[in-house]
Amino acid sequence: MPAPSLSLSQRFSAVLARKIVALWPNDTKEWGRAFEAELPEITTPLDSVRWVLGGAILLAKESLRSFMKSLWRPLGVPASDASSSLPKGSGPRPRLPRVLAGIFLLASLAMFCLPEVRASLASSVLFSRMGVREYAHQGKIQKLLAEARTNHDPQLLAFLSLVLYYDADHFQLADKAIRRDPSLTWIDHSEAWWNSRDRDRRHFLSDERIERLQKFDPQNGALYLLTAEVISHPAKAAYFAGPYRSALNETASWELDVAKDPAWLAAMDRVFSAPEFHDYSAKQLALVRQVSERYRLSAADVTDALFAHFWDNGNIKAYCHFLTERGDEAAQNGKWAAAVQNYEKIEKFAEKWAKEEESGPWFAADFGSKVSPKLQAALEASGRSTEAQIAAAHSVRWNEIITARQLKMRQRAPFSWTGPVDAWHASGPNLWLRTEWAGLLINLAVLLILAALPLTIAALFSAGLAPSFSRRILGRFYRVVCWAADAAPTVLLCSFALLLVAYHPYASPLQNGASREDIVAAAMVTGTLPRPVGILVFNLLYMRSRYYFWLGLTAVLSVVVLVLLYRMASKRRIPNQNI
Amino acid sequence: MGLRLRISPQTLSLLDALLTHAMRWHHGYALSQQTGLASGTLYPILMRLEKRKWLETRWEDPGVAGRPPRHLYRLTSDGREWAREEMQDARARKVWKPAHAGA
Repeated sequence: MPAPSLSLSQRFSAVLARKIVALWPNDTKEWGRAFEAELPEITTPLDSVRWVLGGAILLAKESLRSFMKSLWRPLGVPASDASSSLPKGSGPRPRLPRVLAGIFLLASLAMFCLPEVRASLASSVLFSRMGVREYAHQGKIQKLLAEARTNHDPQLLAFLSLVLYYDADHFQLADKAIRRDPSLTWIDHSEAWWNSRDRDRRHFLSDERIERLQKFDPQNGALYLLTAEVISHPAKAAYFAGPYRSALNETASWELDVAKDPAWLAAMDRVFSAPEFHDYSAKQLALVRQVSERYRLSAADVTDALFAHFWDNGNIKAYCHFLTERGDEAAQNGKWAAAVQNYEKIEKFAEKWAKEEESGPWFAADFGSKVSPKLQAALEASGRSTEAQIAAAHSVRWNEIITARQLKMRQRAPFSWTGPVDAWHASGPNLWLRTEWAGLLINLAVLLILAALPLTIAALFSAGLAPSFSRRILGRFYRVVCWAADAAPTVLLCSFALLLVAYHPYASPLQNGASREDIVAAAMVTGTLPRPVGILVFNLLYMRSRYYFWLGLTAVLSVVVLVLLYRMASKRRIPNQNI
Repeated sequence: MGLRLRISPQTLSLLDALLTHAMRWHHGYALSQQTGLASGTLYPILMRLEKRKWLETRWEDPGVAGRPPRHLYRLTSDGREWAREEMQDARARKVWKPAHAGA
């Protein structure tokens, strides 16, 4: 009997069934063939179409099941090995399921996308005590400059004039800000930044600016100190140009010279007599907070804007010496009223200075603690015992402030306006501060990330995409690739998590209403400890000499490629060599 | 009897068909005709039974030229015992009626 001719639909079903079996997952392909083998028995065209459609649904289910099962298979392990034990001698293989590797990598990527993680990475890698920090933020500052030219935001202009204090154009920015908002005139005071390492002691403010400041806030004695600084500058410049002399316990010669200048004495008298004495730190901090919130800036971006006017305490110290000597002379001659008048001038100035929010109390306590006992003695000698008791109470308070300052210094990050304090080399017992621990963890996390990221990529590529090639080329070292493929994604995820947790308290000090010290600590927390060697080398080579960096990197990669090529060639010459 | 298999009415129909001639090998399309199950429903049940070792399978010997050998199915001894228990339980709970008498 001749075979019955197949209808079009039956032929179509047969073709479709073959396609379905071709797509069937390998681990259950037998069932696909079983399904296909029934098709010739189905004589009815409609039944054959139904049979094939059922097979298509089955294929979809099996494909999904196989895909889900493959997620739990390690990289580089084929499906045929998934359910059976590894044959003896098959060599090392990764063990971490690919789904976990994928989740770890995605979680790491998600954490990398967080702004605070990127900020801490950039700060840690690019921060350098060698002055390279500006490199990281230069792009952002330029963007802000462009925006300021467009929107003419006076606060942004004022902020930029503070950040770019080293730029000759920063006065233009300040003038633009003040023209738009005269209440920002105080920023000129922050512009008058003395660099204590600058032997020339250049004063950046012109007489016109000083006069403008004094008219803006005539109640503030700190503005008259600028006049005194200008007057004392020649004498001080000549003194510091000479050989080094320690003046810790003596009066420096320039102090004696300026004390003879009536103009200087008049300026300092206005400083000490003015109702207030402050350096606009609070206004500066408020400006920085407002701008950072408006333009989404981080602590590291704003640190340069937080430097207060480093006023020359030398003039204050010199005038205190002058008044103290006059008071001592009067006391020796029994002229108690004159002695009290001179001592009280210092005491009252110290009290005004102590009201200054940020560092006022600390500096004021230095002067107040020295003069309070003398004032007390002079008051007692002149029969003003009640006032003497008040002076005694002040003396106790000044000493308490000094003690509190010493304790507080131990609780703060070891930074310094004039340079970093290296905690590793501090003499004596040194308890680790919270910020130092945070800095250590951040540095550790960054190092682990820098090591784990390329290791993860290389290991996953070798073990996942080219396992047989890698096994052939690397030989017994393929075991290391397998270990890396297992460990590196986990290490990468844990490192990102560690970085996030360690840096998080310092990530948003501006939004949290932190003080100036907290903001600076947040910006510098990644640099509170000596830079990891790798990052130091990176900074030295990449930042200082990109030529040698790329030359070295090319040399290293060339050596690696040569070794791999040599192994490829040696394996080809011995094709039966067991790996 | 090992892991509990979800006993759907379709599974009970298939078990009933397999128990009809318990020692005989069955073809897939024949089971489909007996139970009324489409291929997309029949084969997943067969695969689950085979995974739990309640069903044994083999390929028939090549016979007709030009036709591929067909896959054959039969309950194992454990599978038969288990299937009978499930059928009794299903009848007792009245959740399933045999499609034909003499099961």
